[in-house]
Amino acid sequence: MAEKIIELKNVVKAYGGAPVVSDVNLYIRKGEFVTLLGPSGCGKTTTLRMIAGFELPDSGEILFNGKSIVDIPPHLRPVNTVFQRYALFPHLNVFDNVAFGLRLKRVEKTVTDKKGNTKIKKVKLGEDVIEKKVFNALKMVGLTDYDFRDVNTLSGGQQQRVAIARAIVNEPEVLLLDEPLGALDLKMRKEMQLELKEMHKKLGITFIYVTHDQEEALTMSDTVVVMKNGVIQQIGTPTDIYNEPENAFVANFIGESNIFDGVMVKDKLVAFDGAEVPCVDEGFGENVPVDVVIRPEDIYLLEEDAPSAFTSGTIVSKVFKGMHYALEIRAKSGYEYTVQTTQDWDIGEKAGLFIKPQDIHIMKKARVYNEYEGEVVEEGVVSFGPFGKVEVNTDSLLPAGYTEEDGVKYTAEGEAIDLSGKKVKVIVPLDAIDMRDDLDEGEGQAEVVSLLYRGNHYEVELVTEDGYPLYANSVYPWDDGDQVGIAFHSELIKLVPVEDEE
Amino acid sequence: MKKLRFQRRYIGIPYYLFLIMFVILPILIICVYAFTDKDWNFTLENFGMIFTRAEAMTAVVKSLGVGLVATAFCLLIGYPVAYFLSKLKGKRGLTLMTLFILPMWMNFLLRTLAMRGIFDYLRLTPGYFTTMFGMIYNFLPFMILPIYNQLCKIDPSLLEASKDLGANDRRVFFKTVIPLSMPGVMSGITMVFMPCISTFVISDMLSRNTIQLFGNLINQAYKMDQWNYAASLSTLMLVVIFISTVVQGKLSKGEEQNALW
Repeated sequence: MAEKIIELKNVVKAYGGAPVVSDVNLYIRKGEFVTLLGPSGCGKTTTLRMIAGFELPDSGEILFNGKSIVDIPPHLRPVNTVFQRYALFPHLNVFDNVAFGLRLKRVEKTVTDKKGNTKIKKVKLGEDVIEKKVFNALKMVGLTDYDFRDVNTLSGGQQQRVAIARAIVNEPEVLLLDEPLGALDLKMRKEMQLELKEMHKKLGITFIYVTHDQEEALTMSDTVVVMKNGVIQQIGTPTDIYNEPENAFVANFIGESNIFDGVMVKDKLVAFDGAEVPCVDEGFGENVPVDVVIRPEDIYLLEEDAPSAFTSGTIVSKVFKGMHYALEIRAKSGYEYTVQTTQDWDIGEKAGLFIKPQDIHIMKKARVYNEYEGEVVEEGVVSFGPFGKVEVNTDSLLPAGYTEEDGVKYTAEGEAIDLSGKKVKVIVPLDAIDMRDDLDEGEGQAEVVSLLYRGNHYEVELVTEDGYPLYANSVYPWDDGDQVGIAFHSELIKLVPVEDEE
Repeated sequence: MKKLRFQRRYIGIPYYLFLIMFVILPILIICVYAFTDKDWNFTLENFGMIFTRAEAMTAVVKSLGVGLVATAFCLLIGYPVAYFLSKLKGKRGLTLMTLFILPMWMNFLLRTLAMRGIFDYLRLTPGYFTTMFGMIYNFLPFMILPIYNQLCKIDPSLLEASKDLGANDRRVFFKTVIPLSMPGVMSGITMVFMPCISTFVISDMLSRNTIQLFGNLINQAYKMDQWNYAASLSTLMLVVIFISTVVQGKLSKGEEQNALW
């Protein structure tokens, strides 16, 4: 195992109170090609910028070869960056852009003065040395004969190559790449992916690559780090990440997936979509809610009444993708399945669905309900999280054997009960939240952050105005950024009394 | 029969007329006057007068000298101001910028007159210092504004790239910020230098006629009814300004040419 070249320990960064990177722990080995992958706003670029030195972590350590570099300014760090939109100097030509770093460099040189004393002096690199290095770098990126071209006249792909040459010419120990291919067209991007991979092999230095393109990450990396909301979701090889996603988010983000709510009946048997299906997972316990993830290419289509099929359905749409057909199948239960097959089925045909036990991926549910700390305002009204006054039946908080007389409740001993001020844990199941188009309806407002399709409904991640996270189930396909009113099916909300410490 | 239809290019007609009436025609008239005598005979004598009269030649040289020095001071004062204003975040930069431009809302003559009053009160001898001060005060905003705009346009990732490649703050400034702000500097220089060499009100008022610049000479010639001589001086000034513009254009070759504002 090669030594660790960069290590992030408990790194935290927030902008104006909103956490962007929360408690990131990560190490990168020498010579590795590591990709930070995630949707926009997941903190991947901020993490990269902290390694480059453009941002300072609020807390935590960044170690380089075992030594902290947090206090070292960017121009002294042994890393170079390829920027998102290249950031080439428009006033310099290709050669001068690439030579920029070399011309700033001072090397130690032993000189002998007149008296014969030897001294170590810092001197500039000779123009001949610079020229040689620049030409080598330009050759490396396949841009010979472009040296005196104006950078503004180059195409996107060529500018990208200049940006890479400008970084690698300094022979950094680590090359940081911030979505370097984002502005290129698809074909160019594929070409550059392979070239970068090749370059990584030739140079033998560490690459840290940031992208939101999961395919790019899988193609190029030795290790993929999947991030979401500033938190690392999974670190692993591309194969691990694809075949053994750790949670529903990763499964959905990396490649297409069918994700369903299921229940682990017992070891090696999972129930979802009204069927009990054998699988290979064990150790979850009995009757535990789980996420069931099935890749579209792992579902086999059989005849409708084939005995091995766990369910059957009707093909509702078909898209030809070159290598295969992508089918949408509506099962008799109403669940929707995405299936990839090389067979040509017709829309309206009925088929049985079969899956091999080892292709079912079972994951522990990231959340089964929302949980808040709250307080009883008065009988039947509770405040919790960002919500002021929500009507919830508080009878569950009453002691056993209470009596009621003229609307006043008494304990078995005959004392009047006053619940107000009582601290409670409020459990809000995902189904208990009702999202409304009208912002003023309901108890509060929230913004849709992300959606996850679960066969027959969406799991919606929301964030309230005060920054509280909120998860809800909804049958409607909301859009990211939608503002919604939040109402509650209060009969589904559970209250658990918090016993006073005293 | 072909119908007469309204075409889009007809919209330009008023503007062409305007340009012909108020730009091209006056210049032609000036040229005609410059190359004729009182009886409309062609002559080069008017130009001969400029090059033989010592006062005319000194005025030309003085104008260029005063213009260069005033422009240099405007640049020395204006660049740092523009730089710090561009560094300010949010509305503060804009507010301060507005304060710098605020005096320009007041009429130029009134401002200069007021300045003369202050100089008198301070018992400053009218001369080069007062004239120069007036020019710098009046034309400084024209230097700050284009530089400020150019600095604000610089992509911050270029400064990061510069740091990333090994430049410390001082080097980032000299190797990246200054070269990238050159188009602004160039248009600032143009916008200060040109009025500096042609103004006569400032030197007239603030030096109490002790300093004779190009503009003063023309003004006097017109007042003394020497229209042909005045026209030849004006023509010469046009040529001088034209040459200096071309020289600047050459110096800033390769830069964005549209950075006047």
